[in-house]
Amino acid sequence: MTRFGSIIGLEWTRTRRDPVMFIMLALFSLLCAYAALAGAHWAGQRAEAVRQAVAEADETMVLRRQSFADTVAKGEKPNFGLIYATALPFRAGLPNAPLAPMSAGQAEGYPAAASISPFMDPYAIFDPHMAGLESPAVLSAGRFDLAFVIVVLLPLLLIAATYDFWSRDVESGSARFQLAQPVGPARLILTRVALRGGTLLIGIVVVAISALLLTGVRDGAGLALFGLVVLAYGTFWIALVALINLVVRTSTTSAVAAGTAWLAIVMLLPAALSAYAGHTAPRPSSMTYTNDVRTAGLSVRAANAEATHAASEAKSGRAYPATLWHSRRETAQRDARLAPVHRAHADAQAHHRRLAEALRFVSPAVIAQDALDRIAGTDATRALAFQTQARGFAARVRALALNWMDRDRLMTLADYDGGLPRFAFVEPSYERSLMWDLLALLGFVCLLLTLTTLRLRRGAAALV
Amino acid sequence: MLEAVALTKSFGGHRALDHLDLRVEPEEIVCLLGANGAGKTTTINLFLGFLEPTSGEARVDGIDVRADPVGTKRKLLYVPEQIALFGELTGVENLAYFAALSGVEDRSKGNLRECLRQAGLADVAMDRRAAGYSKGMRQKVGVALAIAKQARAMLLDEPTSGLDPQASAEFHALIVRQRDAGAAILMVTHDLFRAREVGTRIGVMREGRLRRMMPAADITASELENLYLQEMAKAG
Repeated sequence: MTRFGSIIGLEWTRTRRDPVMFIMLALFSLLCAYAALAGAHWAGQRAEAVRQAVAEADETMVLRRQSFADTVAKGEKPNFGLIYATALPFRAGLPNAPLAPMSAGQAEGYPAAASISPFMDPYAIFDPHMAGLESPAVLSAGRFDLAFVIVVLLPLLLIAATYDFWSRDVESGSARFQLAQPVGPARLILTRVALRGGTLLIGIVVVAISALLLTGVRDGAGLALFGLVVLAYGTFWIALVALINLVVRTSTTSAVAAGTAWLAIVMLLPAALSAYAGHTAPRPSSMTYTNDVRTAGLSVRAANAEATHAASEAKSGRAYPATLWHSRRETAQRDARLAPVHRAHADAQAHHRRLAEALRFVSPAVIAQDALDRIAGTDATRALAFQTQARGFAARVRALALNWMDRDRLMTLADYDGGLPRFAFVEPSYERSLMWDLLALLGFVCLLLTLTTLRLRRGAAALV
Repeated sequence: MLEAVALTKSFGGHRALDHLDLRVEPEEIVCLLGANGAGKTTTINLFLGFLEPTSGEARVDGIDVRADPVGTKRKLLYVPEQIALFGELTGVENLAYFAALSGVEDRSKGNLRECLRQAGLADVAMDRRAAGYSKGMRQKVGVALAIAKQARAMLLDEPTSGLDPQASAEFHALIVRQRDAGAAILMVTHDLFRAREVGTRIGVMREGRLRRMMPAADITASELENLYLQEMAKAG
């Protein structure tokens, strides 16, 4: 066996014989299993809520078609709800991504379903989907999912396993004895920390992926990306602990320094970034927005009160009654009136989001959370893509209805059977953002390795 | 084999070692005596490359330690006051680890066990985890490494401090055996009696300078003690 092969073998023997490593890995496995099951439960509930919403719309459409068919069979004229395209109800639902059980992410802050009919305000179509936020524990600490375990607890595990890998040797004098041998300090120290931390990290990745497989996740590419993010984030922490070990002289100081770094990077920095983003580019107030939308809608309705009344008594002489033609005009007026309100709200939201997205690169913990959310499909980008696509679908539905109105054409049974439009969510690409997250994590790792190399270059005197 | 040429080390304004000139030849044990802070351990640290000299040179087999810190360590064995072994590994495994670090070619279990046997470690202890080793047993692993490595020079920093008299006697017997095998040994110690007994030459250091150097055979134990006390009395 080569010289370094022997060293690696004996370091592995040491690691194997350390019961603490295995106790921690066992505890971590339990946490992962629990988090994955909790995540699967959450994802299941969410999928069921969306499925029910869409199924309800499908069922309504089937009943309408049945009613239409029954009426025609009796030789009667179907009522207006069945023959006017403007009365068609549709639903749009955001399905779970394959790795949804891994992270609840920001999904609960955004709607997952929309009710659409041709004359609705396309910004008011979304269901206020807040299921699951009722628990005070969830409200205070967020969901206990795998992303939480990885972002918050994984660093603690790695710190516990490696915080004294060299500082303990410095304390005991073993570092002097080791570096008195003809071996480069950099190679020896980096080999040792890489073996100890790397062994644990690979174990963690295997455990976390197994936990996801346990919940029925079968997306190989997603699991591979998940593993990559965990490896990159874990490597960051191992590199940080390695650097701390080379700077401090005692294992106690090393533990305190590593714990402080965890508190700063995982807890304080994300909170500070959030506060900064909130202060610099405040989120627009939902209440103000709702009031503005309502006020604009009411003012349009008030301005049209007389015309509405007139329309109710007028005869259009066409297939669609005067009230619907009036509603069409009023809808156009309302949309024109609401457009600047919606635009201002969307701009403020986008400004806040752009800043928050840029600030995530300051903290590796936020980067890791963002990357995991994207892989799980519970990130804001995917939720907003659903909103955009649902509004697009609403526009399509409206165009369809208006087209029938313009052609003075009522719905027939054949229209029901010929296939009305259905919403199908098109997955947005997240690979580019994920690549930036991974590059940023690797950038942090490179920075730490550079600092470590500089420290090692100071020679053995600085290391014993 | 070991050579200090005007070797000087200052920490800020304090001169810990002041123009030390010293040679330790093969088959020689040079013992350095002196109070704490006299510059003994600084000398060892300079030979190990743990410190950079302010001026002068520390040479091993004619090579400046600064020029080739790893190469010079190949020829050296360092035994500190406390050899800290890895508690999770057995004696043989610890020796295997440090032998691998030292670049020892024959790291077969048989050879390592033989080295430990020659160093006086009982067979039954070799396969026990080092966490339960006494200081004497740990020092023996250090000597076993010197045997495995066939070190041509040894740096011993108070190696028997805290050992019981029997373990201390055993350790010094091992050192003498290494000397007889051709090693050049520089030993820092507070044990005047052992220094006179095993040393070829004895040096007394005070305030960073080598004040005296004498052949051990030319002086009795009581004369050495008197000389040492006289030197220490001069300390400011």
